[in-house]
Amino acid sequence: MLALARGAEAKDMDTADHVGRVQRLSEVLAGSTGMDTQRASDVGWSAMLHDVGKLHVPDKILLKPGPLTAAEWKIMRKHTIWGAEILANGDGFEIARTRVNMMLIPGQVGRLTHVFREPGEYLLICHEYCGMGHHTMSGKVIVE
Amino acid sequence: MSAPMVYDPGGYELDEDQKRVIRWTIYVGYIALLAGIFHGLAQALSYAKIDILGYFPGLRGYYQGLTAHGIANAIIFTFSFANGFLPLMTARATGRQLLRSLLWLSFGLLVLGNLLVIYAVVGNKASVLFTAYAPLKAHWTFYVGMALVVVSTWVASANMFITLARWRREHKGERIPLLAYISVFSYAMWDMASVPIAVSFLGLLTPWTLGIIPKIDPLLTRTLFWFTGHAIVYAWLLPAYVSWYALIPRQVGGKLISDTYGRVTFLLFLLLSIPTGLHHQYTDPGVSPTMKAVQGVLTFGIMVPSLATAFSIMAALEMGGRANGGTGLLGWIRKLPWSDPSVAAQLLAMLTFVLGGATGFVNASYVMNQVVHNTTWIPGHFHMTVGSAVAMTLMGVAYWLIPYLTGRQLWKPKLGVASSWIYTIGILIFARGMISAGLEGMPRRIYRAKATYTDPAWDLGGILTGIGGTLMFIGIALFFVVIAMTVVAGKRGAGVPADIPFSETLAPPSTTGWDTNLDRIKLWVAVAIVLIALAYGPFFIMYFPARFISPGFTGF
Repeated sequence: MLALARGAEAKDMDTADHVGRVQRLSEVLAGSTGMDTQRASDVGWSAMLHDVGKLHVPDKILLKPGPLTAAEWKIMRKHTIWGAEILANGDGFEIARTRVNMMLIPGQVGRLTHVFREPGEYLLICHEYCGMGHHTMSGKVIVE
Repeated sequence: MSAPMVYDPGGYELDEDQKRVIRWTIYVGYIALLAGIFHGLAQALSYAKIDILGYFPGLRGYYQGLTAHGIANAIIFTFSFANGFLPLMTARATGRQLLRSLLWLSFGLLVLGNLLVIYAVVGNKASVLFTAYAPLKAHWTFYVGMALVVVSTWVASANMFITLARWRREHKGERIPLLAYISVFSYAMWDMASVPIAVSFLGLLTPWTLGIIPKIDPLLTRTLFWFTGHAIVYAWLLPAYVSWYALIPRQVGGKLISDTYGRVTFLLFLLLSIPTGLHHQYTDPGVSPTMKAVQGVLTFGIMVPSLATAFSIMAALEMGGRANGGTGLLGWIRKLPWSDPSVAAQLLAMLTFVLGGATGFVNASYVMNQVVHNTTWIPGHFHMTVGSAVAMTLMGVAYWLIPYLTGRQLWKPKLGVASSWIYTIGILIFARGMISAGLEGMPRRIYRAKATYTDPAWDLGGILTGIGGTLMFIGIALFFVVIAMTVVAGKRGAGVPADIPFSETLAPPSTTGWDTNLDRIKLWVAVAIVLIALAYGPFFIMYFPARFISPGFTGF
């Protein structure tokens, strides 16, 4: 899940750190409502995926240096809807040429850790059919 | 054709009207095969980055076509064939007629189910692929149509069970004829295995898509799917095995080496096919690793009867090859009747199945599975099992079965032989491409020609997939020319097999001793149910109450 969240944000380097902050804040907030630790931790992990819809936003919009045009904003704003669709839907992802490979199933929390031994750019792919735009859903994991 | 066949019309004769229903049941299967291969070609070319989807009038998207390909070729083709073939084998082995009413009922349900599924898929109301994973939501006609196809297989089974039971009443103390035994065991296994998918499609997904239950539990329906979903591959395979065990030895001029050996193999399939489904869910969260590991081990168990089959069939083939004058260690292979299209197709099917089985070992291994799960490795694997071992055997059987059922001679047998060779070369190139690119992480189920990402390491594999897929398409197209011309223009009269080519065994089955217990069908079904309960019980006990949380999604 961390890989997926990072993948979504990796295109957008300014906010790469943002995922970790959202996780910690959400976990603390959830804990303060009286949730048990395990559940609060799940909320934190899930919160990391709030921008996962950016996987559908083309790089040329996401990484555009200047201000976006109205048409581009229209696409950018859809990332929340795409995110909801991805999370409401059964998906799956892999990072090519690693053992990172997991199904994402609504109602289930999956955890997976992987140590990248080689620096480089890794391709993160949605590998379970999730609707018409399935073949446009990918991201990058950058290991420095 | 050079292979010795049973041409004695004085023997068993199936009523003409029963032959007609069986013929049409099997035609449904071959029509489904034909319908599915066009998009199969589009998929293979898409992996080579060649997009021919624009040439498909009426098709609204790649995944609609992918759904049609999977359903038509993997499900409708295989089960329509089995619905006709297995009851026919049971009737022949017991020397009886089938129940006419059940034959028609099974055929009617199959056609009705097909019409509903075609309505849903052609109208783009069910582009959910053949796995139909919730929360992707299809039109109700899709789930009900698929369930009706399953029910048609149950009716076909009932026809076999009743026919066999009547035979046994008249033959107290006799062993069940081997051909009837293995045919009945094939569908007995499937009857048990298909209950979870029927429950899921009719009991959960249909009320959900109709709005009667608002939300669905995706992991529960997934697990029910795979509960059936691994055994389904044996339901595809076993009719092919029936031909390999009980027909091919005669077609090559040999005999089956051991009656008991054949029975034990099918018994193992009955016991072990079902408690193995979780190995399709190794990467699913929410299923305990222990349960996955237990079923992983059982999956290796199911490889035993397949390896046993390899030895048994090989011995029968060698006997035939040597009887035809073959000498030396391998010289008998050349002396097999390769010019008989039915034999050639099935021998080549067996060869590709060696690779299909070997790649299956990788899928069943918990850790290696993480590398290949949902990559093109998987379709690379299953096109060498269901896509060649099964498909080519079912095509090979057609070369004698269609003449038998229609009373017409096979049209241009040499073209049939060529079809099998072209298909085999195609599948080997295709699978080499899919498997190698899969190891580099090329995902399956993507419209690669239009994907927004790629990896240079996938290019060679993608091109091989395209070349191989094109050859496979040409091979099957030739098969259809031969079969269609046989049905329409084949000569009547001499040279038409009057009987099915069923084999003798070296020694008849004994009527005393331990192996008579192999015929106690009810006992073995009970043992199978206990094994299934042990393998799946703990999962369901720990899993409930179910989590009905997903409202569903139609993204196509």
